[in-house]
Amino acid sequence: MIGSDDSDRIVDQIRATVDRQGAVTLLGQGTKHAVFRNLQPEGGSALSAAEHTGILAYVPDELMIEARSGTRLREIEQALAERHQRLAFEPPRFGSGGTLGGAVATGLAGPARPWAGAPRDALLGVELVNGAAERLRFGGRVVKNVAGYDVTRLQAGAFGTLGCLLSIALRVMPEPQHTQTMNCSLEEHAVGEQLHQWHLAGVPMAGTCWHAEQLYIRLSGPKSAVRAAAERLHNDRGARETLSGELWTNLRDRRHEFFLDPPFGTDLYRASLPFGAPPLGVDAPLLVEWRGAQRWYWLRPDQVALAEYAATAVGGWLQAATEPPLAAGAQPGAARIQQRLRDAFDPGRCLNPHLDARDAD
Amino acid sequence: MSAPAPVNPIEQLLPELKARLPAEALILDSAGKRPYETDGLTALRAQPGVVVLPDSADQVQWLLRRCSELGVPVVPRGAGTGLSGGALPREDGVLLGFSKMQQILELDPGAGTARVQPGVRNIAISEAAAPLGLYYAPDPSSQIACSIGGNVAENSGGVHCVKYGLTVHNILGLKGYTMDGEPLEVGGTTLDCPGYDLLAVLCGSEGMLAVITEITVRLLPVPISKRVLLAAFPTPTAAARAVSSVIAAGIVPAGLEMMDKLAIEAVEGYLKAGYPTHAGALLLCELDGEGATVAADLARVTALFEAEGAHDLRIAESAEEQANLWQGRKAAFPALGRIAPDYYCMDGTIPLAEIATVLSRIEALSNEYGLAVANVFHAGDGNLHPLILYDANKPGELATAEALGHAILCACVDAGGTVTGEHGVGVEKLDGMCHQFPSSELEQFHRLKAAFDPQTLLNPGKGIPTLTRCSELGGMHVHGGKVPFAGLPRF
Repeated sequence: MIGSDDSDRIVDQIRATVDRQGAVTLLGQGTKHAVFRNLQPEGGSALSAAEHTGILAYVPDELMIEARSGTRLREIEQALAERHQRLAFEPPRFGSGGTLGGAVATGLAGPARPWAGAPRDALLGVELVNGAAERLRFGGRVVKNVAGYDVTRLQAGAFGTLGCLLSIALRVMPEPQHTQTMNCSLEEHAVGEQLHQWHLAGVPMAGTCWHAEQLYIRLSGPKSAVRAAAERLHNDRGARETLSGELWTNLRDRRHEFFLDPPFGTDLYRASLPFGAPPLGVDAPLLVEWRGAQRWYWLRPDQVALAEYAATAVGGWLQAATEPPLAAGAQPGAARIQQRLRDAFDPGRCLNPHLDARDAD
Repeated sequence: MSAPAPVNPIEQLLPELKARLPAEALILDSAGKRPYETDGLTALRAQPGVVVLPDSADQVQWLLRRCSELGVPVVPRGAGTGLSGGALPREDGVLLGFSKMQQILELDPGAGTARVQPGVRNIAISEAAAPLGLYYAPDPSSQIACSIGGNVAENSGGVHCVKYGLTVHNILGLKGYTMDGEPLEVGGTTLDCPGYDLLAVLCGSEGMLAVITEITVRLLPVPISKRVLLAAFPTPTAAARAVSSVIAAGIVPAGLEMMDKLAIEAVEGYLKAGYPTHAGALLLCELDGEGATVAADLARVTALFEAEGAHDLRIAESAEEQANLWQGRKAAFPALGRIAPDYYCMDGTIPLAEIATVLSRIEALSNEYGLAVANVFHAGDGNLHPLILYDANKPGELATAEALGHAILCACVDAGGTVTGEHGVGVEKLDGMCHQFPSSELEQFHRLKAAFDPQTLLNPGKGIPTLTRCSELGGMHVHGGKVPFAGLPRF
């Protein structure tokens, strides 16, 4: 396998940092700065895993790939595509590049999240360096594995604060035989119920997007199933096939025109809501994904409190899209346990301590 | 470390329990406690100090707080169907059972969720959701009896996790308490939550991190179409190759199960299910989804099976025919129970490519130890369930069975797998954990446990072996003699 093993240097740098009671900022290629603020503080000592690269194992018959954390997503996706497989969670990328480690550490998922899961759902095993400069392995290469606590999935979305990822084993999925995008006009209040009906009817959805009164649905699966579903969408709502172009990758990477054109005086917010949640009643530019479970709003400062209240009232949560979703939510006990877990993996707060700031408030 | 308490803490707790909890929530007499002495791993027994069966979260919270203050260990228990001794009680502790917390609190068809208490039986969720056209996907073979709380504790799988995942993929939220009685809520009804993925770490934690009193599960639409295919193969190796070829072809079956010759013969002798007894192995493959897709996949699977030498192919179209084909698989354990007085069920997982090799190794070990081993397992995800047949009344045979089991699990780890796919470590596989994990990983697990339960009172002694145990086994891997986190207590 092509690649380079940079793990000794990574471990050595963490050990040296621990010894001097310092701190490191963990990075892949640093592409996530495009959307999250405060990932790399000025003057911080950076530790990049971008040279720790290479696919360690790829077994198409087992739907399993393992690679070093600095391996480029592009390289992994190319290897998978040759065997008609893919990363089902469609890791977003912001700018050219993006590493596997960054994709897992940020825990972000693309348009198929409700059907295909997030990085946490695909993770099988990790090797990491904890805040005591120990190299540790958890999980493995098999799907069913309940030996020990699930430290592997805990890494997804932890932004490196529980360990610097060295290698990652993932379950991959077959590429769908056929994909087709359908489009129809629909008002916001009707979207949720219509998508729910199609969901119950087994329509093979793999992405939904509602914006500016237009609903787009990505169908994927065997050709016969996609064709049958397309016919149903046409009969129910007059939906027509449309050339999706780069619609779904633009949504994945926040490059859709909605994201590129902020109204004056607003900031981008993301609401994570239960399926079936009603419109939040906020008069702001809106784009809805994930069958209603992910909604993006451009909010003026005076609208944020109302939107936050409305999201919470239906069982969801709202956060500025530029904020890494790392601080524990307001649920009882969550912040306390999160701090203790942080201590359990990184007692000296050596790994990405700048991301702790909000919890300390 | 505090000095030993002058009074036995549980003796101090008992009068408070009687004063605080309704009489029916307490079992104090020896006969009443007997059913709680063991779980599905019946070889291990202990009499609990007291059995407490709360009917509300408030009672759970109070109990945990008092036990924490007094230093009384607590062992949570679902339906007691677990196979690794995870609910093995302690004489100096409380056995906390959830049989009185069996309410389905809410079904929300719009959100596709059910909010349930931990004592609800797995299958009861799907039964309640059926009128809405929904169901709960994970279906461990004990689903008519096992509880959803136990499923969360073990991260249970079942025959359909090849396609639908494990418990961790199918729950959205948990509410409960840490050992000190402090509330803990993780997840909810959304697909993601800010902060660490505490839902993932609680799932499969074998009741050692927190006590769960409410669970929000995700419900899926009932598949429109379903087909079951049974195929006989000349050898387990041929069947194993057929499994790999299905997965490699991009087909994700709902279930893909294998039985070896001994298991087939036992089932036939028990049920007369019409299974092909001359076969070296058989595969049961379930495909579900939209009608045309299922039909197309069925044709492809049939061709792939035939290419690996399958014969006696049978396709079940109706629900009744499908139930008939599944019946033999589901009856395999009781059927094997008929041909031997006792059996010991193992649970290793291995990469699919290693199935044939590991099955051969199991056969060799079976001959070496002189005990028959039948194999009935989830082939689609490499999760083996070797059943060691023995007679506990013969002196030494249980110990031989356990030694053979340990050897089989080591073979799984050596093949790149794990000592437990879905049954949990409990007390049963603590030695196997020593084989699978070096000391530094085990210490990290103990520190993780301490983040939730610093006093080590919640289901102590399960799941993660102490370093002392591993070093006594001689199986511990210490790297360079370095002991990190020198300031933390050792376990």
